[in-house]
Amino acid sequence: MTEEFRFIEHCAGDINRTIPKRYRLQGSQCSKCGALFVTKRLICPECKGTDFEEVALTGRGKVYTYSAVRVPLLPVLKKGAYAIGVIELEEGVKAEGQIVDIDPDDVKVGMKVETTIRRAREEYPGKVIYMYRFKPARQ
Amino acid sequence: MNKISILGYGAYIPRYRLKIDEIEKAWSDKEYSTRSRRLGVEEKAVAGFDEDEVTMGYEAARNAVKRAGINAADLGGIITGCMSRRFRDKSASAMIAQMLGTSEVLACDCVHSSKSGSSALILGKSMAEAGDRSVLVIATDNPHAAPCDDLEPLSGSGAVAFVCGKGEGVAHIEGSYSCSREVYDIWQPVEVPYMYYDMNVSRQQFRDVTVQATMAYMERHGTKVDDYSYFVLSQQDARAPLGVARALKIPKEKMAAGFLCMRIGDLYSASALIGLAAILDTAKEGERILASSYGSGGADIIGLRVGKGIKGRKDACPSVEDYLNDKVYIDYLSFLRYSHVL
Amino acid sequence: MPQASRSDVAIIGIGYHKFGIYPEKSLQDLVFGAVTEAMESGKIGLEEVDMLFFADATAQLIGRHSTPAQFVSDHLGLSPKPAIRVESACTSGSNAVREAMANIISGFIDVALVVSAEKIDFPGRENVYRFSTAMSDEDYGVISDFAGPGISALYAVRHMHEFGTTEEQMASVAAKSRTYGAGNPYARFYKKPITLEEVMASPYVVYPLKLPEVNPISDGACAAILCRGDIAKNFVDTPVYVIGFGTGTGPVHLQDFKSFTEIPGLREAGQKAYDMAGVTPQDIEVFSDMDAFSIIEVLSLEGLGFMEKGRGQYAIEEGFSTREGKLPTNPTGGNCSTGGPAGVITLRGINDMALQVRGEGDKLGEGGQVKLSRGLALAQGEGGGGLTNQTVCILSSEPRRRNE
Repeated sequence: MTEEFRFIEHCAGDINRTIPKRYRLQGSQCSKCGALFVTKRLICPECKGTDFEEVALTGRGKVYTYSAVRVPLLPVLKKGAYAIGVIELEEGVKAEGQIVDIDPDDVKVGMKVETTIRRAREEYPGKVIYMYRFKPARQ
Repeated sequence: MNKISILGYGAYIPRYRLKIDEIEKAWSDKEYSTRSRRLGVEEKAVAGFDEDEVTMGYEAARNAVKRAGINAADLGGIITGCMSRRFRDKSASAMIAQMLGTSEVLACDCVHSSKSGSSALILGKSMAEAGDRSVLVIATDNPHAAPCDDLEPLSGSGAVAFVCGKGEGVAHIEGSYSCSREVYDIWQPVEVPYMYYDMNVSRQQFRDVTVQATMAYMERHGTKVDDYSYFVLSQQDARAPLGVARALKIPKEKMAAGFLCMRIGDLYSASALIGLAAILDTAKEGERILASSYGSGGADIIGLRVGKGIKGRKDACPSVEDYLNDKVYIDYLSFLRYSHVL
Repeated sequence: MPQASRSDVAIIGIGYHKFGIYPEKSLQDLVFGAVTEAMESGKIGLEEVDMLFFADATAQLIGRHSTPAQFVSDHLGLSPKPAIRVESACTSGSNAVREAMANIISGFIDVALVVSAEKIDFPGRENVYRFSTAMSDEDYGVISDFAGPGISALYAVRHMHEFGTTEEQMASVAAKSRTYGAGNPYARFYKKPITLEEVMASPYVVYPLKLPEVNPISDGACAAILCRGDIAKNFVDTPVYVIGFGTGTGPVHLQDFKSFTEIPGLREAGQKAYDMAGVTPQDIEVFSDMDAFSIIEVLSLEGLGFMEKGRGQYAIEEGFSTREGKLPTNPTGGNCSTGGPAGVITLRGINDMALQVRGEGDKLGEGGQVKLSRGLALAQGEGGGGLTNQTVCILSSEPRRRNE
């Protein structure tokens, strides 16, 4: 009736464990070499350091590259065309995500965006999974 | 000083609009279209495919917190008023707290009535008064009427949020008055997908209770219609509030700033409060506002006086007008798709 | 001609099962077809095989086989010989060749059977969705409903932005693939050529890639028989020596990519293969890239040093990558034409190139064999959510020269 996807279990991560990172962009910075990652890391790929600090990211940035998905992966996605993109954040790191609140054809490289949160899928009736998304920046 | 003010406010209206013409075209039912025409709503706001009461509430909350100039971690409480939430167990307030990035906070929902939003605001004000941290109040609704139902052209989606706290803010909350009466005008048991309603009972009750409660508030606070620059009411359609205005002799121009249902429909628990946000967008220091919200046979009246803090806060986030103007028209089929009916 | 040694590896048998949609066939049916062909082509019997390397990306998630190598081994009657599964998304097939090589070079085995098969068109498309999105790790990355086509499109848009690449230039990759592949009886789009105009008039799947520029989901299988270089001529007259192999990996999540105009790890994989083979890009005479999406051919030509960075898009209009060009690329059709049974397509690339080196390219369509003087071919493959696994395999008609 109302599910975007019907009962599709998904991916390796446990839903409860990953809630905070689905809502907010959280960076982790290597204490040894200062390299910043959007993905959580246990070992720094740059210097192999294992000490990281969590850094809050603004979620604001510019579109680095994008695409308009015309044929969704699943017919039950039902949402029609949607835009995806890689965003270069103000902090200099990149983040991937869907770009919402815009006609997918109107997305441009260099366009300013900010984060929001949207429904991503429903795993069981009522078990709604939300995800951060990017939308055109208003100011 | 225990004076409680609205420190910040924010709105959110989804960008999709459905013209009532589209619904009429879809059903090509003359009687139906005459009925909906008479109610004066021209288009309604529709939540996108990936939006719901939680995401809209979050957007409005983020705006309000930003406008208040505080951190989410400073909040002592989050109260979400929502009529259309279809969960018996899953706190919207707790989800929004997590989304805002705070956890040491009392998060609770205020549900089961189209005045849940105003009741949440009154509770939030009291909580802020009693405690030492600010309280975030959210009114959000994403109602779904049955296809071809009389409510279909009227039910709109959107959200509004307020941060209540001590000190000089955007507007001082002067007082409130609530009354409750039991009536069967609109009701929905959990096992049925759409609301049952009796619009004639609802209109009459709305008119009677709102007039009575407004008079009671003004009597208790020693004010009269002339003392207020703005009035805002629940807007189940574009006609009912005008009846109340006539009865109370409120001049039409005092209703205009917060009268939005022609453009977005009835937002239920957010209906009067999004009008209040629109008023705050244009009001000047010292002006007084009387907001009234109707639901489940009863009414909440809230009186406000615009404070010094209004200056410099307006541009912190998009205004209601910004959201009203950022719109994309969709057809009836898209509407059904976005509403997850198809 | 140098004598093949104990540490050389040769491909002696090459087999295919036509790619397509086969609701009536099981995974085992597809395997059987490809293995039978490979055995005939290698003039060898199953009893001579020492070990099975089964490569797939989807058997577990889509086909619901949790130990596919054992299923296949049992069906082929190979028990009690060892059988293992190799999985690295679309490079499963090519990495299985690498694992077989390592086993042969180390002296562990003499003859390896490499089989790759996919049964993707399982009822219920959500299996494909499940597979595509499971290439991301929600604990460390994010789930954005990106999949192969979308990610390739992100590369394409950035290439257009930085180097002015046009949609026509990318579309011509698909048109070339379908034109050459129209004669390939193993291709899904056998006898279905398409013109550049038709590609341009097709709907987008993901902007800027249009339907013919995206390889269609297909079932299919390939098999190859590898053996010690010094015994290869006991079986066939024209063994194909694997003289160089390089593998590279990149970040799994797009946010960790440094660039979107370079396939991460491809340059390194290429260098490793060139060094091992003792050749340079200029020596390569025929090339198979994994053009699962048209833009990949552009990026591969650049990443492997065949064309300068930012110029790969001119390969077709300058006649560089056509059958008559300096480096015929996918002369019998790439994935846009043969179809894309995930893990199989990289083994298909190696098989195609092995046939070229043997001079049997016409088996994949009339005029498919390109002229070779040294008999040097390169097959490239990539796979994974963000194209994160790279394989580069260099084949030659002669065993590797050693500087001793």
